[in-house]
Amino acid sequence: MSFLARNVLRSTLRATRATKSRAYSAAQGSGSFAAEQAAIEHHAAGTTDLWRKISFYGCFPAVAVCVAWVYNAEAEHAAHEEHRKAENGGHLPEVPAFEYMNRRVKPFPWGMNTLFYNPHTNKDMEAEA
Amino acid sequence: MTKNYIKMNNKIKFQYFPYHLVDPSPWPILLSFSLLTFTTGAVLYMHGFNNGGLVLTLGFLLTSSGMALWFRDVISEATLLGCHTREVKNGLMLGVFLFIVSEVFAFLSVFWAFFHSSLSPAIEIGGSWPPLGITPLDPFAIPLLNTILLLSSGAFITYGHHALIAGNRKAAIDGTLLTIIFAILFTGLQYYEYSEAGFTMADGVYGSAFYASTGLHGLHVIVGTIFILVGFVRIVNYHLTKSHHQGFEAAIAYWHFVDVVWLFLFLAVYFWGGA
Repeated sequence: MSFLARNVLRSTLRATRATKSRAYSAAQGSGSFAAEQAAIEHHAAGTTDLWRKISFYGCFPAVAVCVAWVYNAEAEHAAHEEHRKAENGGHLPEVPAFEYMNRRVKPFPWGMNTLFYNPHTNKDMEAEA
Repeated sequence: MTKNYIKMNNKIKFQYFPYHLVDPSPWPILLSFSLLTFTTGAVLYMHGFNNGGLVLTLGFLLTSSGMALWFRDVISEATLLGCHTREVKNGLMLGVFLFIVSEVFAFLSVFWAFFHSSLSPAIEIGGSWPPLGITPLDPFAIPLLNTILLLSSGAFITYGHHALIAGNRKAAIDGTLLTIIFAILFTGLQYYEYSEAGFTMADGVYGSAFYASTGLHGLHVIVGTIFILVGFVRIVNYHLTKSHHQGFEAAIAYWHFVDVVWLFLFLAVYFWGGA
């Protein structure tokens, strides 16, 4: 009998302190994990729609406008380069060989040119060596 | 006797605290040695030592496979074993933010190098910034597009994140996938820009500062893309739930950090430094 009384007392005490001491308990009721989670989900449903609108009606048009702008800027740049080439007998004017330009103390592990070497814009250091 | 044994055994099985005590793991020590091999290999390779490329390849394979095996353990602890309690998640997120702070200081050092050389340019480079003979890139062409792409990807990832919390699986997948696509577009455009640039990494301090800062950022974009890709694959495979997606949140925090660094790069290196 005493065993039963002890168990009843123990579970009553546990029930009263449960919500206080265990904030991570998944028990129902206000302040519980489940209630907090439900509130977060409810809030997230609204913000998802907000960010969907920002993404599809804000970002996509902005990217489209920017692509058009950049396309024009790059086309203008290319036309200018062609003009400079035409003025200079078919190739771009040579940049003076300043001491701090095209520094090579030793070759790169793969050769004399950089990994992003482009014969139209960079000096061919393979030919220089 | 038997009854007591069962009682004891059950007591051992029950965990009275919310923390995660990890099992002994071989990955930290293995990864330490892999990283040492990787960095040593990089130095040997770049300075033209014999077999430097071999050590570098070995170091890369060891590091990436060690990371994959370690992350596999973390994923099983999080997804299958239920070790990621609220307490553990707080600790992990604190770790992520401390990591990002250390990254901020890494970028601070390259920005310091850039401003050190550009704010009072030396007489050897013509006393001007950009130095004589350097044609900088137009900030209002591809760099501007890259800025818009990164900012948009930040909006897409927020859309995906909030959809995940709200339990909207389709939107979570859409938002994350769009982020990855824009991230890859950014990297592709940076590659194009690097190939079209009239200056190289070896063109004095301008080339060094430009490629060190934008290159370090580019590597972070690639890593961030892989980070988000892992989150994407885990969403598709039902690993991530409305309340448990710590790895994905870490990827988002990292991505926003990379985004903010780009804004500073755009303003300082491309706009101010190229004018």
